[in-house]
Formats: sequence, C-alpha cells, structure tokens
Amino acid sequence: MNSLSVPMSRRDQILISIFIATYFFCVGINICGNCPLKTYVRQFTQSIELFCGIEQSWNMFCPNPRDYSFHPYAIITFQDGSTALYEFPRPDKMNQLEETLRERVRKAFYDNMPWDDYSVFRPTLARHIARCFANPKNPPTQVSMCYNGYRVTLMENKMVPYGRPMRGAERKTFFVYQVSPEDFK
Amino acid sequence: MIMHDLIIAWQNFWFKPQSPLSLCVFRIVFGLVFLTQILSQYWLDFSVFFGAHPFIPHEDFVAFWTRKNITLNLFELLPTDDFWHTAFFIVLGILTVMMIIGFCTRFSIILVFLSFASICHQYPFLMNAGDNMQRLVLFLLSFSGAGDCLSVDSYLKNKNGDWRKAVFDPPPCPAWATRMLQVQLAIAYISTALLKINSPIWFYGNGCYIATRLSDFAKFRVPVIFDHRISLYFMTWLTIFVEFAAGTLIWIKELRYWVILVGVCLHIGIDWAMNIPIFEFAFMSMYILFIDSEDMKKLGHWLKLLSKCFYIKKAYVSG
Repeated sequence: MNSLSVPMSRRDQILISIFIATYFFCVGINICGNCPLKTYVRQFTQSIELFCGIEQSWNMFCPNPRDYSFHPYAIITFQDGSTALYEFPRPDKMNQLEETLRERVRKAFYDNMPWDDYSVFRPTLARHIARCFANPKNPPTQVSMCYNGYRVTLMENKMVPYGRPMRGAERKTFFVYQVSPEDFK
Repeated sequence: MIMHDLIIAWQNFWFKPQSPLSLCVFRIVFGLVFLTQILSQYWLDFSVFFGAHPFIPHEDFVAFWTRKNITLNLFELLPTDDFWHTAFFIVLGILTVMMIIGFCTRFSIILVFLSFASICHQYPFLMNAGDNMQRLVLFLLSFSGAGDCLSVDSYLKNKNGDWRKAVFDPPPCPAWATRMLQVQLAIAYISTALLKINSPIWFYGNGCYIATRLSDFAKFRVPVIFDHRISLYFMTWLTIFVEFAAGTLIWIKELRYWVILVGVCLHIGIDWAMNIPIFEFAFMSMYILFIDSEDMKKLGHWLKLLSKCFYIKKAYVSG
C-alpha cells in the first residue's frame, strides 16, 4: 500500500506502467504525421503492432473523403470475340437488409479494388473472374475492369442533389488483364 | 517536488481503485455489439473472403502487405478447408456468448481477441475503423477485470457466500485497463478530428456534403438538413467539434454526460444516413466506460423500478 491506498504492489505498478507507456508509444508513432523520425521508428513498432494485433488507423472519411460515386463491373471477352458483363454487387440496388449484410462486399469492391493503392491485387481478382466464366470450348481471353461514375463537385461549384444520385456520366477502364491458359490450371 | 507530483498524478490516474461495474456493463453491451457484427457481417459472403478459395488468397496479402512481419493469424494454423474455417467462426460465436455472460471471462476474451485479430489479418482490406476499435477493445479487455461482476464467474466464485453483493456491488479495484480503454477512445476521436481539420474539404465545410453524395453509402433519407448548403456547412463543422469534444471535454466531469449525449446523437445520425453497420454502435458502447459507477447503480435501480411497474401493470391488466 502506498499513500494513495492503491491495492497493488510497487513492482506491479512499475510493470504495468511500462506496458501502458509502450502501448501508447506504439499508438502515438502510428498515428502521428509523417516525418523521417516516424519512418525510422515505425520499422520497429510496426512489427510489434502486427504481432500483437494492435495496429490502428482512424482516417474515417478523412483527411479527404472519396469524391467519386461509381459502380464497378468487369467485361469478359471470349475467344470468339463475344463478351459478357459481370457487375460487382451494387449497394444502390439492394434492399436495406441485404445492404447491411453485404457491407464488407462494398468495402472490398468500392473502397479498395479500383484505387491505385490496391492495384497489386487486381490480377488475382481478374483471374478469379476469368475462372468463374471458364468454358473449355470458348475460353475467356481478356478481363477488363471498369467503372461508371461521377465526380462529386464541391458545393461552391455545383451542388449534387441529395438522395437522387446522378447517373454515372464517366466511364473508365482501370485494369485490363490478358487471360492465359495457365490461369485455369 | 514536481517529479513527485507527477508520480502521484500518474498513480492517481491509472491505479486508483474504482468499482468495475461500468467496465462489466461495457463488457456485456460491447459483447452484444460484437456478436451482431460477426453474425451479420461475415456469414453471407463467408466463402468469398474466408473460404478455401477466396477472391484474393491470403498469400497475396502476405506478399504485398505484411511482407516479413509476423502477424497474429490462427487461420495459418488451420487446414485450408471450408470446414475448418466455418468451424472457426462457430467457435468464435460461442466464445463471444461466453464473454457476454462472463463465463471463464478472461479466457474467453483472450480467445475472442486472438480469433478476431486472425480475421482482421486473414483478409485485412475488409476492415474499417470500427473493426480496429473492436480489436483493440478486446486486446485491452483481456487485461481487465471485466468478469469481476455481472458475470457467471462472480456468481460461481461467491455462490456459498453473499453472491448478490459480489455480482451487483463488487469491491473497487485498480482501473488501469478501463483507463487505457478510455484513452484509446479519446485518441481515436482526436486523431480523426485532427485529420479532418487539416483537410481543405472538411475545413471549408464540404465533408458531410461529399460523404452523403456517395451512392454506395446511402441509407435512410434525412430531410432538409442535407439539401441545403448552410446546414451542410454546419453539420461538417459540428462533426469536427463533437469528435474533438469526445476526445477532450469528455474528461471534464461536469461536461461528460453532455458530451456523451451529443456523441450519441452524432453516431445515431451517421448510422441513420449512412450504411456503415455496427461501426457506430462499437464506438457508442465505449461511452459506458465514462459513466460513473454510482450513476450506473442509480440507472440499474431505475430500471429495476421500471420493470416492477411494468410487471404490476401487466398483472393488473391480465386480471
């Protein structure tokens, strides 16, 4: 017992204090702004965070929220020149319950797939789509991943109406994958 | 002298004994939120992300994301088989129920944390900030005395004695784990508020406008507020202010419940307008940690009276 009537031994207090300080040091390094010191220290703290499962990020709709509303799809071209359309699940076409239950699908295909930070995963995804359309007599030869959408302009320029989403006026092909026979093995 | 004062302040903040009642109520509410999450968010598209042949194999994440770092992932110990992966989720559900009722509490919380961290690391790009918070809560809860009351454990430990006192009115204990959870929540709010205030989109008042124009997030319609510029500017700056307040002013005892009230309004508003299931409830549940144990007891007393009134009324109506 000490002067504060803390029912804990001094040794325990010291050990727990070290744990608290280490934890919040890792958190602090993780969330502070980018600088050379952070880059250097983070090489060590990131390993600890991933090993302990305490990595974190709090960029919820920030620093800048995505200013592009869109829906992604894939066009599969077959050997005979015919094409097929695969539309990724669209939350705007789902009822409320389905939209809630399939939020993770939205996360994967809207928040991640089309953006450059995640471009390394696109070939794997394209291969997966090609396999879903596998046909030995007329195999897929190309998978094009595209989206239709519109940019949400700032209010000062032109206000996009609320609750009545505009039709996707822009079309962009963000990835083209040439399918090879090895992809079906 | 200053050093001595700092040590006393440190001890006072982290180790001063407090009733674990709020923490145990939090364990139950958070457990229910977490159970809803694992039941509603993963099972419909389970095989797409966690089956034997997922959209993006785990090896790709290892190659491009975690690289040489060792991650906490129990899936790597399981055979790559739909049966084992499904069984993993079922066991996680059972462990979560154990955590809620407080049976083998510490053991179940540790296993729930290990399992959820594995899910987060198996397919990391499915996770949002709400998942981050839940994973961190589980990590910190595993060090706490979250099973000290309102639990099967506390009943079993005292069933031959005064179990009612042990279950509903436990003795105080050092609250450092509760404090860590509180500080973690404050860090999340301050961090996101700082990021927003450094963004020209949020700073000049366009944040809420842009977020509500993304068709993939749209949920229930909010009349008037999101149709006009002035209200959209106001909502954007109010969001930043509430997030700052929830990380800072919440520590001032006189303002605490007001901050919690506006925080709850903010989260309910976001949940109403945008499709981000569970996220808001995970954050809101953490406000329980800031409720004083005496107030929690009063709340429990009122609820008890309310249920008695309801029971008497029901008995009267049924004759």
